[in-house]
Amino acid sequence: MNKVLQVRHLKTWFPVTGGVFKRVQHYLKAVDDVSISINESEIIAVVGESGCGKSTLGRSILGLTPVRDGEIVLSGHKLDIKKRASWDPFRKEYQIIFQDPYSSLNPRHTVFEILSEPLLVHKICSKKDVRERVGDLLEKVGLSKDYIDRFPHAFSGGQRQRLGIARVIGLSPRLIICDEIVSALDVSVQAQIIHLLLKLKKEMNLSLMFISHDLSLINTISDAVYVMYLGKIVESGLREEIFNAPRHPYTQSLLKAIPTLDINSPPIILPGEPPSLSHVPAGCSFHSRCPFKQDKCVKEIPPLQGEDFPQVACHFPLERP
Amino acid sequence: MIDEDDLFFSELSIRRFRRFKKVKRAYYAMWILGIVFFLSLFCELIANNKPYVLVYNGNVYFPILRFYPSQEFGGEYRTEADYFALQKQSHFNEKKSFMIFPPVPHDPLHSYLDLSGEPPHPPSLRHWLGTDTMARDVFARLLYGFRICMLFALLLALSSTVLGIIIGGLQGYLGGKYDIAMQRFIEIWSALPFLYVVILIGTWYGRSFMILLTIMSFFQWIGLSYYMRGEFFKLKNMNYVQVAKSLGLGHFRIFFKQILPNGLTPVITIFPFSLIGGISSLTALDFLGFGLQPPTPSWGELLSQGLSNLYAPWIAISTVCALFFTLLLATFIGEGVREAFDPKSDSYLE
Amino acid sequence: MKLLTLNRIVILNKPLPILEVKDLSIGFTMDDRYVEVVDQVSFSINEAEVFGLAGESGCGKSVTALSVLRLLPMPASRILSGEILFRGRDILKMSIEDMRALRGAEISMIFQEPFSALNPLQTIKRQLEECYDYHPLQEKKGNLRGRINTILRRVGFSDPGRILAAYPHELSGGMLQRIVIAMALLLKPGLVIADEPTTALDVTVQAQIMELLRELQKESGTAILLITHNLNLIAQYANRLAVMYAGRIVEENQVQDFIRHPQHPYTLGLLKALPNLASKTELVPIPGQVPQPSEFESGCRFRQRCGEAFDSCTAKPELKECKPHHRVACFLPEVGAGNRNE
Repeated sequence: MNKVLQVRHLKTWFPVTGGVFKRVQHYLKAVDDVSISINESEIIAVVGESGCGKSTLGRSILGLTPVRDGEIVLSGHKLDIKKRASWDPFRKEYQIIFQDPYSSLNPRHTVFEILSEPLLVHKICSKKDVRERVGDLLEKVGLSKDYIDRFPHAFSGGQRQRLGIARVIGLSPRLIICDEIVSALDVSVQAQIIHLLLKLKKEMNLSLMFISHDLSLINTISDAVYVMYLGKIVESGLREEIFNAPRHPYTQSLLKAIPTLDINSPPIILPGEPPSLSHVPAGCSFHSRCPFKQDKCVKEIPPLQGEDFPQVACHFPLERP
Repeated sequence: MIDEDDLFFSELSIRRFRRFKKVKRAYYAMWILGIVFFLSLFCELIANNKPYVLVYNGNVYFPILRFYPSQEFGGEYRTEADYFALQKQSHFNEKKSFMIFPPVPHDPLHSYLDLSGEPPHPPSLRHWLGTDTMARDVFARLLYGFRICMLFALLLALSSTVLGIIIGGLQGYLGGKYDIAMQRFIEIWSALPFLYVVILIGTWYGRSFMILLTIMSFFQWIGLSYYMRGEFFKLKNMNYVQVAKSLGLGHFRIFFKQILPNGLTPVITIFPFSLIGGISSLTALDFLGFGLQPPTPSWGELLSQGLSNLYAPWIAISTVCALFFTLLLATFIGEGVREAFDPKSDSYLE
Repeated sequence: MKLLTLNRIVILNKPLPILEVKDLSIGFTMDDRYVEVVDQVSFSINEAEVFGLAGESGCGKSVTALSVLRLLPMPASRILSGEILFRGRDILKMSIEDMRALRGAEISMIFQEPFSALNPLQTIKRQLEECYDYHPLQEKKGNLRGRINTILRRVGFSDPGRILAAYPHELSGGMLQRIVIAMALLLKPGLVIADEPTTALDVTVQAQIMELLRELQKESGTAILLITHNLNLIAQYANRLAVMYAGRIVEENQVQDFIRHPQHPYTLGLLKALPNLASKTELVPIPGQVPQPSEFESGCRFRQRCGEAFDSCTAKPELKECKPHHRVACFLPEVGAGNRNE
């Protein structure tokens, strides 16, 4: 199968400076040795709690955050990660949509300006046709053409997220990174947006990378899942593998902590909070909260075992039932 | 949800303008100052010692537009005719001639040496606000002085705004080394004694309008640049800027089209106050004698005349009043703008 | 007062409402327009009960909650009609002094954002003590300082001394929310209003906080008004709930029955649009947008998005009891639109 994206051993470290001379004292390893790959027309999801580095991962892939080390391969082309310009040829085909539908649209630009800008910059269509094209895009995401001259403030959260989608699909991308795109929306609207994305995915043969903290949402849409904890991938696998039989204790506790409508299965509590990235515990980073901790976990960092799915980074992975 | 006419300005801008309109004194001050300034651009038609039209010997002349030697009207010299004197000559009235003067028939540079007594002359029907120590009409000088003052202040505010936006904006946008280097430069630059620089450059290159404007705008941008730096720092991390980057937009577009329109609040709130600053500093420099080259009509020069001739109070009183009302109007506008941009009334619950 | 309450319990032998909201309507001025964000809302909360108030953003649930503590922004908002009875006394008619005595001691609040709920410039100790040093209701304090330590231990801090000396920025979101809970429960109030108490927190921490809240609620017999958009949370932790939509309550029921037999088309749609963890089910979106307060209509406000709307829906549906404890504001059950309870 064609790989749309391959990331190998990606590291995005933020230097923490201190002292009089602003020397680098240590690094915040927001993304530490992460490898993922996405096949054509596949939906993968990256899950984790806040501060686990999942958003940084998305930004690093598109070169919006300087990367320290690793390999990024877009459509078979290996990028020179040290040069910002090496992403430029791929700006059209690799897109990102952000979480907050309110701040991701420039409040001073009309819908027409917002949607036409990428079309003109990438010379998708001429100035003459652009208005018509923008109208088509609006209809494609389920908005009326009459909205073309309005400002973003006139739209609700769901409609704004539709605009965000319209802006990127105009470029006929291969991959869209969706960074928590529905977490700010109401449940009823959230389902609409997911529906729209799935429809477009089918029509345009898109690949999607969902970055989310909402496991139940991911369960309904994704093909494969990567679970991140403190900058590292702790488990990955196909959707059924992760949700039916998680092997990493963290994945399991994460799944169990979610409240459901089923009153007979109350959430089970995972004690403690995720440590901050500046104080990652030695050894297995999850050992401070792990219910199955053993001596080895405190001392040795567990490697991510397995070449392809499923992978797990645990010394004592849970048995498959 | 929105009206048709709201479509081309964002609702925020419209709401701000409405709020500005609600501050009545600011709104009217803007109109008054605007109209007076607009009229003052045509000073030559309001205060001039040349008539609009002159009919002499059956011929029609437009002295306000063209130069006519005094020989044309039976004078002896080839210099420009003295229309005021001409009006009183007997041959002029005999030849069924007439002329129409502007409402204030005085030139700000003309010394009226025909008046009886020593200058300064007190207010009279002919000279509404009297004359100054060189027998020039005070009203005409005030009017021309207002124009120069306002033009200077406007241009100064504009140029320092542009400089402030670009330098401060770049600091915020680029950050890092450029920001630190520029910040140190600004610290050194703002420590330069501004007045000495003006005096020094004035003695070397003369004291023209343009030189003064250039020097002053080199110093005025600093205040705004701090604000713009902050705005750009904040706005460059907004999601829509990130989106623009990921869509492959260039730096120029991002700077001017994505960030700048959202960071104009300090520019607009500060503008009226830098206008006030411009007016006051030009007046102050003129007052000290380091401003514009005499005999340019200027308020500062009138003020210093008035102060050294307190026995002729009409000079000082009229100038101080003019200055006071101009600054008051500008302050009202500034206050209204500040009120309109005050975010407190923008917030609401749920 | 206390005696009277006891008497009534004995006489009636049924749960007594600690809070009764009757026909509450609240108006707001927004950009020179006047909108009614809460429209004739009525519900009651019994003693020692967890009552969930669910709804999407802008439905008026938070405004309702703030009005109970009379914390609505003035003069932008105005209570148009209705009464809020707390243990039989109308909160809306109380004097400012009585109200101050009530806040914190009888009714307290847990806010969504623990980071902004605490003053960043003061230590936890100062904030915990100060709130109550100046509280008008002195007699309820007793051995307050001793109680602070006890309650901090109770909310999960093994070393209260260290926590008391800390500033808010030194603590994580989950810890701060624990402190906010401790603060809310310090004076043993009869009612705690929890406005989206876990929305800003991670899933694993959310479970801890909610569990803690439930334990404390059971121990102290406090009633909780749990306001959230998260139906899962309400299903797990509340006894009864009301669902609000566009400023009105559309359905009120006991939680167990609600999940199995939702009656209102909106609540039905909401449950279907909820992503499910147990199986890969298709999400069924509700078409259309949540209306803004300026777009509220006179008839059924869900009409535009409802697949089953018919002529009667242009009139305002009253919240009517369709079976004991179950009230719905919809015309469908009346006309007997089949059995829609799968």
